[in-house]
Amino acid sequence: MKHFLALPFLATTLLAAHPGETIYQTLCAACHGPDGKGVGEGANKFPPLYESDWVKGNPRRMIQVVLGGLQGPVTVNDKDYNLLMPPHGGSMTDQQIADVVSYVRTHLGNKGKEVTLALVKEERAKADNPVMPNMWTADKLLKKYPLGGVKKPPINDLLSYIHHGPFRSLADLRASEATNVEEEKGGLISLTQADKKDAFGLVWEGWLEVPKDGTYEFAYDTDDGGAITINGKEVITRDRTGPFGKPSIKKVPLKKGRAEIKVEYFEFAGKQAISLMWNGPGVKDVALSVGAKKQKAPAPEILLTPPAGEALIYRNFISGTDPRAIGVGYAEGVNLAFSADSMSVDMIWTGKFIDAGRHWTARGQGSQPPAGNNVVTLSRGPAFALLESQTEPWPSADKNSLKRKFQGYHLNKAQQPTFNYRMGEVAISDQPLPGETAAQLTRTLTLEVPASAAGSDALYFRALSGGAITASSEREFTFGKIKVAVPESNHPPFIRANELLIPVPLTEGTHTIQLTYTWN
Amino acid sequence: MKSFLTSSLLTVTALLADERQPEFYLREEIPMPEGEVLELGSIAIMPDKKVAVSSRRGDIWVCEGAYEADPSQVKWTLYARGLHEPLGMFYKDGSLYTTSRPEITRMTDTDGDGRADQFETVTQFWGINGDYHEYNFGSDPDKDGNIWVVHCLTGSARASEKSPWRGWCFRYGLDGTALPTCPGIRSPGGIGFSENGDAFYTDNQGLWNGSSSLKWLKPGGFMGNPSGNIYAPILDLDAPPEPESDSRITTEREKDPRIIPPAVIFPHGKVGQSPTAVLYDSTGGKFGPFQGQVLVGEQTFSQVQRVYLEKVNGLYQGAVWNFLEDFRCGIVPARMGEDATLFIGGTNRGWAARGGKNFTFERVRWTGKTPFEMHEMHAKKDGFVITFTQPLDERTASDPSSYSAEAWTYVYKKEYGSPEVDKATPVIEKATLSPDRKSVHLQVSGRVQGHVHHFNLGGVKSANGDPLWHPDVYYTLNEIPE
Repeated sequence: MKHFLALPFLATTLLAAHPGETIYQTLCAACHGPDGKGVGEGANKFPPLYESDWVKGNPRRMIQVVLGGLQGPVTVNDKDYNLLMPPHGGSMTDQQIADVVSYVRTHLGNKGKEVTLALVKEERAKADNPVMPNMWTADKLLKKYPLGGVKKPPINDLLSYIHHGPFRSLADLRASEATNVEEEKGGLISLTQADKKDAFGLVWEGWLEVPKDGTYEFAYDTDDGGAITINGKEVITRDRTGPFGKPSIKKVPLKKGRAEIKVEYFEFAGKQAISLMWNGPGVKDVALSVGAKKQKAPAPEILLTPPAGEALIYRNFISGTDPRAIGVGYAEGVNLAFSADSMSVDMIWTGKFIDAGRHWTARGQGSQPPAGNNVVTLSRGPAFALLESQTEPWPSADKNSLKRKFQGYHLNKAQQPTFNYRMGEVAISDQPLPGETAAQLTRTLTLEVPASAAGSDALYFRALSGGAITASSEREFTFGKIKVAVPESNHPPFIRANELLIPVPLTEGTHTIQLTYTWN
Repeated sequence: MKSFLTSSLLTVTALLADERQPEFYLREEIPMPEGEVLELGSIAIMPDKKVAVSSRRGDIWVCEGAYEADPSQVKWTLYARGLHEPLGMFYKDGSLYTTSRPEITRMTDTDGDGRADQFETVTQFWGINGDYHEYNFGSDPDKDGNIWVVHCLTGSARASEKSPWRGWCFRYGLDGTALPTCPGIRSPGGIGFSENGDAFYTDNQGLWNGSSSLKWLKPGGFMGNPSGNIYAPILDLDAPPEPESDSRITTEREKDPRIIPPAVIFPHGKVGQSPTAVLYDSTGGKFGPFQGQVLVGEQTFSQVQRVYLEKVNGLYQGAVWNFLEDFRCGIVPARMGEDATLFIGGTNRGWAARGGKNFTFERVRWTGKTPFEMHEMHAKKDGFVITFTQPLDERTASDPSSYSAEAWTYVYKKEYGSPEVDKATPVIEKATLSPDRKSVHLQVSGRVQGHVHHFNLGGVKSANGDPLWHPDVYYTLNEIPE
């Protein structure tokens, strides 16, 4: 209600107000808020223009955002956003853009200067502006027009000390003498500052400008080891030889002003790598080493769990199967993804079902992998085909002579689906069910062959493909993490290359195939 | 600059809570089931005074008590979970049908426990490739029993070779037949029918759409965006029009009459920013005096607009007015229920909206008091005839200075949106009141074919001395009658 109260004020001051204000309230306020503070919450929050670091400084940056739109992740005042700003270059005149940019730069908590019509015209005429349907990404635009003024070195007065020796521990490193010392004016630590590939150490010393009192997080990753010391206190210790990839993260309370930092690093042999970042009030994931990158912020987790005794269906884009995916999580802790594009149970897995966070926040872009463990891709592509001979290669979906038609599914009382589809004239129902043990799925395929479809052609079901299959008996197989049994089928299965095929007689009547998948 | 200030003032007025609305229309929120996130995508009317809603997350819930005097006592029952973004739903012969991202589905509760157990795929004729913008809005069945579906472009900007029929409207039979109907769609927000059964959809400002609009899905017609033309050879269809960019739609449709101009343009920022649901007032006067007129939802501004359509020289055109507002979230579905109850569903996820809530289910009923409004607007050979809901004050209504007019059009181009261009100032030469004082004939010089004609009737008073509730009207003049 708050912003409605503020509006009568707007209305009464309207004619005397800035010419950009009405444009702002009409075109911008729905997302950026009447007060510029951004509408929405969580992943659905739009970036603020109020006291915004994107509004500050070079006005060309903001003019370009209005002209060309912006999509993808963007960080504004240390917070991450990922929604879409549509381009307005096509719908707004240069004068309107100049007015609204001027308004925002001089209002909504911003203390910048107005922009001229000429500047907007100049920006519009630039040859490297994105052409629809492309828009700006924050990375590309910030390369042209970075935030802030003069770039300060991330670490001030940085010195590097090179040590030589087969160091396996911090104690080894600390027992040695530096062979060289250099001033690093760029203020970034880098292993290129060493003169060796193995058996060396580096120690850096300098100081950080802490913008505000508060807690700062340091993330340090090394191959092999090292340590971080802030204001004389060792806060991160990686006293080991080992690989890169799991940074040590430590929160450190700091006072505004100068904080001394010492970075120790040693490399015994093999690969070498270093990454150091800091993050906190006024410091947004700033790299202190060359090339350090922050971990991408994941969408909030919305883990879907089947209710007790029931299965849960999730139709959305699931990685590892086709766009028409139907995920099924069973209360018993097994899960599958059925492709209604190719009529195939493409994937099975155990444990957690799926995280809907990606699809149920913001606009829901992208595909989501299974949340659980032991993911097994049984087979991709059509599950049934007619083959001239047992050596004829399996057809792709569009080469398959059997036209496939998805007919839906029905649910039993436990909400467990049986999928129904046709391959040519053959009607197939496919019922997966959780097995008797925790890590088992059974599957019953029932094929109805009408008289009109009966004939001498040979129909095959491809039960497995894409990995090594070994037979432990005529009807039992090992396939990666699972054992596959085929207790029922008219003809026994056979292995060819990385495929397990089951022939089905194309005779009028009902034919059944049963399978069980058991995780090792 | 003058016209800009005028329209800005109006828009800011529209931002304010409409204090007069409760006199005429009562808007009430209907509580949602506890703990659920129901970002509504469609609403269906069921027998026994039940109302079904679908959510963007893919759930279907059934509401009982939505018509009761006190809507806070509603009872919700879960009908289905796990569909893929259903945006269109209706009830027929014991089943609910939804149009979702991958398919049209017939859902049936065969064992009578209140929950659907049979999900039959009617068709999955079209392609999807994993892009989040490849959604579909589906209509109710038309008089032939077909569902009209508009397929949004890939990323709302192109047509992926992997997913045919993006940017097309198809009619699908309940038996699964597929009838290609209109190419040229960009990013639809809703689909529905006018009173006589013709199909319309809303398309949003963007590539080849200078402003958002209500478009007539004339079978065989081209809706304006050529991205989806690449699929025509799949079904051996004639190549759709390839309009020239940086032109005007009036110019392009002269070259190829298959190009159907927007029936009614909703000027961007003046009449909303993202039009959605399309329906018509089927209440026979129980929702106010607008029987037969088209109502259109608006997502960004959380409004309902009102449209009067007429056919001139074989094409639809007409007028749009702001109508209802102050909804609690951006409107996607809207549905006229029984008892002249208008149901509204909202969501702001990914696309911001006024109102302050992330999702909402609301209803609107007419209080029985008729607002003083323009009722209809007809293009004439020499001007327009505007009818009103109440008799007019003779002095103000017959004074041409009570009216002001401006006109403009949009560049028809492949880039996103368009400024208002080719501005003109039509002149109201004479305003003649009808004998019953309920309509006025405006003789207007300087009209431009194809332009949006904006009239402000700020000076016109009713016989009681009231100003119009909504004094602005925007008429899209595709054709000038002989």
